Amino acid sequence: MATSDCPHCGYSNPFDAAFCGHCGTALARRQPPEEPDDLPADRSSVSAEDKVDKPPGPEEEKRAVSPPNRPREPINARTWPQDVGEEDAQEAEKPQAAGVQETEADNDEPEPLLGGLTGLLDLADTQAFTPASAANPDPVSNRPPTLSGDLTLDEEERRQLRQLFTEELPQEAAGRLEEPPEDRAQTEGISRLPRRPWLEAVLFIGLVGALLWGAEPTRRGPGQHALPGLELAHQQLESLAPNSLVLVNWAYDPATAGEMDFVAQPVVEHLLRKEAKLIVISQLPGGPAAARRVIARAEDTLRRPSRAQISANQAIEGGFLPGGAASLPLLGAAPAQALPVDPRWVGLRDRFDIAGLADSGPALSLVVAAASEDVRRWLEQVQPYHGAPVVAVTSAVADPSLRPYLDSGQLAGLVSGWDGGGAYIQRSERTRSVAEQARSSRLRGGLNWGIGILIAAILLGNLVGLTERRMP
Amino acid sequence: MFSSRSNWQNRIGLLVAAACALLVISVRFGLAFAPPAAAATLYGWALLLGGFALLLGIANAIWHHFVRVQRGQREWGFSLLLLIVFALVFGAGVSSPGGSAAPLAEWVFDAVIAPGQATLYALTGFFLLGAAYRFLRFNRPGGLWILAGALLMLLVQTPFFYRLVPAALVGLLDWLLNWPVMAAMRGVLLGGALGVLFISLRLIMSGAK
Repeated sequence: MATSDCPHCGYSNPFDAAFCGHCGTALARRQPPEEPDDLPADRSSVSAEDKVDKPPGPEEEKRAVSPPNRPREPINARTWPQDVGEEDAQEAEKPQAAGVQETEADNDEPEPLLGGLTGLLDLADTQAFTPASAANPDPVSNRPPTLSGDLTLDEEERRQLRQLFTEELPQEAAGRLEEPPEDRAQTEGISRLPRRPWLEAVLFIGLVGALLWGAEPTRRGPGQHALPGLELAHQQLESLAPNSLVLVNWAYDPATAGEMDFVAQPVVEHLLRKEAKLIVISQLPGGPAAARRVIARAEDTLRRPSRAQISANQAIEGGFLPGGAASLPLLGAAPAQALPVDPRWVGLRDRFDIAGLADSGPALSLVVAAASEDVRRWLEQVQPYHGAPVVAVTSAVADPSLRPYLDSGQLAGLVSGWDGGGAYIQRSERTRSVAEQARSSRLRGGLNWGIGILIAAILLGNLVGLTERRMP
Repeated sequence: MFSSRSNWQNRIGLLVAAACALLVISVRFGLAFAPPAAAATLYGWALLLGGFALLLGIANAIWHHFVRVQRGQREWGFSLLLLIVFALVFGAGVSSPGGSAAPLAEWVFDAVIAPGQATLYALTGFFLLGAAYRFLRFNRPGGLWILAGALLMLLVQTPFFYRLVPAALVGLLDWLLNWPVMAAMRGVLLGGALGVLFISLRLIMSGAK
């Protein structure tokens, strides 16, 4: 296939391309390389095989100027014609289309390399300097004349210079340039050592050790897998005195409510049962509405005849708090000032609660978040100010990211995932209603099916990969 | 992208930003000369700016879609729908004493926003499935370990499969989570925090240029 090298970067583009596929330079439409006049007439009919087999004659050797030495390039970057004969043979196979006449006509007026803001470099118009190459544009067989007495570089060398200044060196080649040949051989010898198997063996031994260690019943203990922060969270909530102020950051919206409602509701029920006063804010537009629904469901659950009666208005809806992380410190420094609640619009009792929040701060902070970033922001921006213990209720995904905070003591408790919510209900020693049991069963069934399908897809993908590999 | 302000204006802006940063940092470190009330005032301004930015964004969106409808641009019907829904919800919230808890606003939340958000989020499951099918393969470089870890974690965290997995394997997964994964996670947290700190300093310091 006839190609046209980009005068800017040297990339080999299809001949009819209007722009370079590598750098975007507007390509001047030029005549495709065609047979020189001194070739025999039947040369175009000679096959490429014949040209490879036959030794080139003296005239052909003159034309068969191989490209100068160039740095190694990516495979997909560009292709150089290995032999002029091969290129000619490819050209011979291509019919001389009528479009060639058009390109000849176009070449009468040299076009600038860049039209408008299509590149970053202010390029010289090489076509304007090389009228001979425009007339016979094959850069390999016909070298353009020298432009002036000072500029002694031909088009090919100038193109290489441009390429050198516009491309980064391949890292591997650049690295090897710096080391002497002996060191390079030594490095290659080291890299040929079975480094990966060593690493994998170490990893394997570690895993087997962990497997044996995990099999010891005395060390593993009961329920280690079931969330170490859950018991701490329960203790924190259990230690609350009646009418304690709890600042709740509701950091999830309906997108993740399917999982988070299931985790948040038992914790909110526990708070209501302890007669804590909840002041709920959210930095998500849909957060207050999501919180309202969960709190209402928790109140309904506790109002059942067999449950303890809860007092009215145990939750103050703080509403939406804009500003993101920048406004969070205000909740720690001046929480009553940060609450988007006008005290004149709330009841007298709530006014006292908000005033109490300003005086003594919250007794506990509860962060109900689907992502670990919200808990982290709270720990970094709010908790250092008022020092109240923080309990996080999160999705299962956020759990691993928050374990370091739990281990360091910054988090006073952590309940995460559906299994965390279920374990919290069990820990609270309350029986579920029929509707709750049905919902839980439905969610667990969906989880089982979903992960089962995911495992099946993974296995199927590996099976397909094996089959594709063995197919010729 | 680049500021067209003069050099001294940039420097004043930089000085204001640096003073605010110094004040907030001093309050966080508990230095005596830094009044906490001043930092709280700055936080309050940030809160106001956040609210104003939200209103500005809403106004910009309304104006953008209003112009689209006015000019009859492509898919202007969707813009008109957006404006109508906005007017309805806004009117319901403002006219009702319940505010955002007005019945119509609640209905829109329950019937439109909540299912829509849940549906969009649920689509990530399909992307996850497609990615797992294509890339969790053992014949990729290091793929065996990734595949083993993913399968084990899925097995252990699924209620149905959890009962089938031996206790030793559960212990192995606990060990993985508590030690190697935790070490990597702490490294990521510390590295990320330091990166944010230095990028912030670099941004502030390059503001004068």
